[in-house]
Amino acid sequence: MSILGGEGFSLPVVTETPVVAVDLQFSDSAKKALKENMNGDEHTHVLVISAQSGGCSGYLYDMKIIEDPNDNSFQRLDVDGIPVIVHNKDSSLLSGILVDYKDTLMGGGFQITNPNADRSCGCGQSFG
Amino acid sequence: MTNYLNGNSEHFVLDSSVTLLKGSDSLKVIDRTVSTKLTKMDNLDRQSTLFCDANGRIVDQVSIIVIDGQLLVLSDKGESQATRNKLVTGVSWDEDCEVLNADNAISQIVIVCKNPDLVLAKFQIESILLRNDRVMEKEDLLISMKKFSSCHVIDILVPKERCDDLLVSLEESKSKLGPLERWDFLRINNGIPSLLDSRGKLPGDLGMGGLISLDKGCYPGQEIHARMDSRGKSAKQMLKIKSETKLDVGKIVINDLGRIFVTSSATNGEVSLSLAICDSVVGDRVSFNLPDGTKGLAEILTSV
Repeated sequence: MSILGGEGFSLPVVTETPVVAVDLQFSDSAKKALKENMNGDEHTHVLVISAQSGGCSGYLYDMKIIEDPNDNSFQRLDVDGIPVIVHNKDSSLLSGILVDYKDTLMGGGFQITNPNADRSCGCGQSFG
Repeated sequence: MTNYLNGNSEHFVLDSSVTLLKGSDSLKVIDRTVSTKLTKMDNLDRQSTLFCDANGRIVDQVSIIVIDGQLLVLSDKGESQATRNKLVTGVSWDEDCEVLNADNAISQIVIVCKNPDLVLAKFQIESILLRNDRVMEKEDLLISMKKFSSCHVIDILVPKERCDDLLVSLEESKSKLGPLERWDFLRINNGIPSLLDSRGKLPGDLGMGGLISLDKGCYPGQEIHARMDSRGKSAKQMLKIKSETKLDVGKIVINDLGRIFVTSSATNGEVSLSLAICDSVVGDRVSFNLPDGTKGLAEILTSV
């Protein structure tokens, strides 16, 4: 029998995360870049913005275009016709962020400014 | 080096915290948060690593074991809740990783011994097969071993319900069960730092540079660690101090050593041993007199 086959393991640990109504700001350049990246799929796909552990400051931003999960654990916003979703567990970390887009060869792409962050990494991908 | 053992072997039930990470993304989740590259770990590999804050200072030191695609994380009891919360909040919405408290499921026993084969014979294990960076799975036990200059330290993880049976077997192997104060004394003698020594310190100041992977990319504290590495060797050193009187934990100034910070201290009634951080490098071995006139000897620990 493996050591993992015994008794006494807890149920998965959960943490209480405050859920707030998410408000996101997109600059004009970010909206334009988002539309280009969506490539007409906005009826079936969504942009999901999320946070996960890591980076120099504790949390990393992540942005993905995925098929619409139609899951009510996400909050949904409409950004000039593009559906953007944020998971409730990330709402307090991400509400109020400003998403910008820089069209430069070095360090370009989507950039996030987060008013909830006490600090952020030099590369802009991490906050804490 | 004196091993200070009573007989061939002494063993201790550690008050450590055990966390189980289940799910296909577990290794990825924890790898993002710690100072050491873990992504290449295979089944039954064991790796020590550090959780640091954004200022590069240690907040928890843990040992990770991969077993059947799941991870066992051994850490300090005092920080376990904070470390578990950090792991749980760091799981992305689309990742498969659950964090389980295994404190009531698994016990950790350490054996400090001169001749490991005398202790291990009862378990039909040859010490030559044991390593520090891998665990051996023997029925429901996970066993690893590290060799020090004067002794061996065997680490056993056992299901909680089997712990008493294991303790009886160890007593039958002539090993003596000791209190945690005694373990503190022996671990200090072998230069094994606990979170008592490392909490709030920079890894380089403790000789823990081996637990920093500068090639793994960003993790909390990475910018500080990279900057310190680029500046060269740390000005501070970890010392093991042997003295006639027990040193109090905290800052003290000693002639010939200068200012030191004692991080942990233990005594066997005759000799006191301490781990301390010294502000400046003074030499490999330094004899000194304490303010009360008693003598002491400090040795630099090159890596821990």
